[in-house]
Amino acid sequence: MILGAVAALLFVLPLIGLVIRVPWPDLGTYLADPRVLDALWLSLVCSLGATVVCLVFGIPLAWLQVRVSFPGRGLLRAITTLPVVLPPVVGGVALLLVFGRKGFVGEPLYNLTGISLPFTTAGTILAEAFVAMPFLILTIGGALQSMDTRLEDAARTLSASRWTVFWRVTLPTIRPSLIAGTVLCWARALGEFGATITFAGNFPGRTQTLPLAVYVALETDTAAAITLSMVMLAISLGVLIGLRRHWFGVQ
Amino acid sequence: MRRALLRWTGLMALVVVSAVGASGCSSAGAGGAGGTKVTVLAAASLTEPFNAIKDEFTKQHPALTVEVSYGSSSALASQITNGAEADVFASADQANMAKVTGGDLVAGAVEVFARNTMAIVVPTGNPRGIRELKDLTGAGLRISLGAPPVPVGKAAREGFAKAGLRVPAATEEPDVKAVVSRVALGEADAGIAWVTDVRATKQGVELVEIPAGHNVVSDYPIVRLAAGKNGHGATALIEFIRSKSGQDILRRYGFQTI
Repeated sequence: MILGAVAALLFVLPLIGLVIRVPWPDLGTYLADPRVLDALWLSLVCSLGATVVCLVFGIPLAWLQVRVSFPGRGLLRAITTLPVVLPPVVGGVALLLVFGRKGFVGEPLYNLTGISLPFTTAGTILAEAFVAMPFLILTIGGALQSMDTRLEDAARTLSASRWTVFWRVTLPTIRPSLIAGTVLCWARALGEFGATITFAGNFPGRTQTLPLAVYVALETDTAAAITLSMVMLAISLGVLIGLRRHWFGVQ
Repeated sequence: MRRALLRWTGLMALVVVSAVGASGCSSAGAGGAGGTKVTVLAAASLTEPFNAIKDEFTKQHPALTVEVSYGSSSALASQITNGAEADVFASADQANMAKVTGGDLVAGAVEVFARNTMAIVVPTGNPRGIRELKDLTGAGLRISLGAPPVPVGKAAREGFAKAGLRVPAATEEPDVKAVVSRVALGEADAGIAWVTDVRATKQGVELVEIPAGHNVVSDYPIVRLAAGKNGHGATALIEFIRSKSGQDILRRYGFQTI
């Protein structure tokens, strides 16, 4: 019990450390700063954009990895989980080497279309999706694996098309995991720092999301950095508390 | 069983999310042992010369060991004001030094031991043909600058103001090494960095000089810290850095000496 309490302190104390240093009287002034609002708005746009990308591409990938048997499936699973353990900065460098202006995808893309992802909002979304998608795939993959496939078989015997089965049977069955995976993916995208600053750079209003703004603010204005951190904490904590029933079975 | 596993995965993910969320900060290499070890907090741009100085100094003072923790001057300054136990602080500018000299954190006088100047950093071969600051305003160029609070970012903007230019940045990097690496990786067409950081980068970049009239010089001050346990060693190290041997090493890495 004491060990458990020590572990709890490890999480609670830093939180208290932040809260007591928040300049409450000036909170309004800090939050109304256009740079803060820009970063907050950009964070929401990018994290939601990344979540949409993850849903559109991640659900099919999770389905593929669980339901379709093909050579190298285990390896592909490992690779798509890699961003969870990889230092995000390394992920950002890897993205640069592929999608950067000198990258083997980025260079032909730039020469043909003049489009270059680094230093753009699209680049920020890509970096966030790269880091966040595994959380969605893991959650949905687990649910797909453990669901009762006889439901899908039954639907098929009633001559439902593959798409109808997926849309009307599979997705509703894994709904709780789908919601949890989506929120987890979004939260990870919202907090993304390393891959974003490495791949997309840091420019206010274009690629400077809240975590990047916190990092830059630390250079000059600790109070501003703490205030920004509180905004992120409030958002994240709100989402996690909202999800607690799913993880801990609290009624 | 599966449910338990699923729940466990969720928890793990939660832990990872919170752990990874706020990366990017480094902690001070605060060494508690007194007597033989001199702990130094030094600006990241001093990495190469201070490693050489450390070797040379310990050769002359075999009884002492030197441990240097490198970081951005502002990060180091806030580590000191938050109680890091170090013997010496070497900053890349006076502004960050001023953050620690206000109270009773320092022991002894602040002394300038080196100077750094700005240069334009371009990819090797200078493919966009950049010759002067004015060329940075060219259409379609992607310029990498330090963020406004970072010393090299502040200096770059001062330089532009002196030259009467408005140079839009493609990215505002958190430190000077990042400014240079953008150019080295080919993502930016040019950047503004300290001469020493361009020279220290092994591959992919070269420098274009900025004339004195538009340049900004940064003084590097050093001071002995009150929290240190090895005042004697700290004084000896600072003396060495300001001596001819120390200054020779600094000059070798592109610093202007005193």
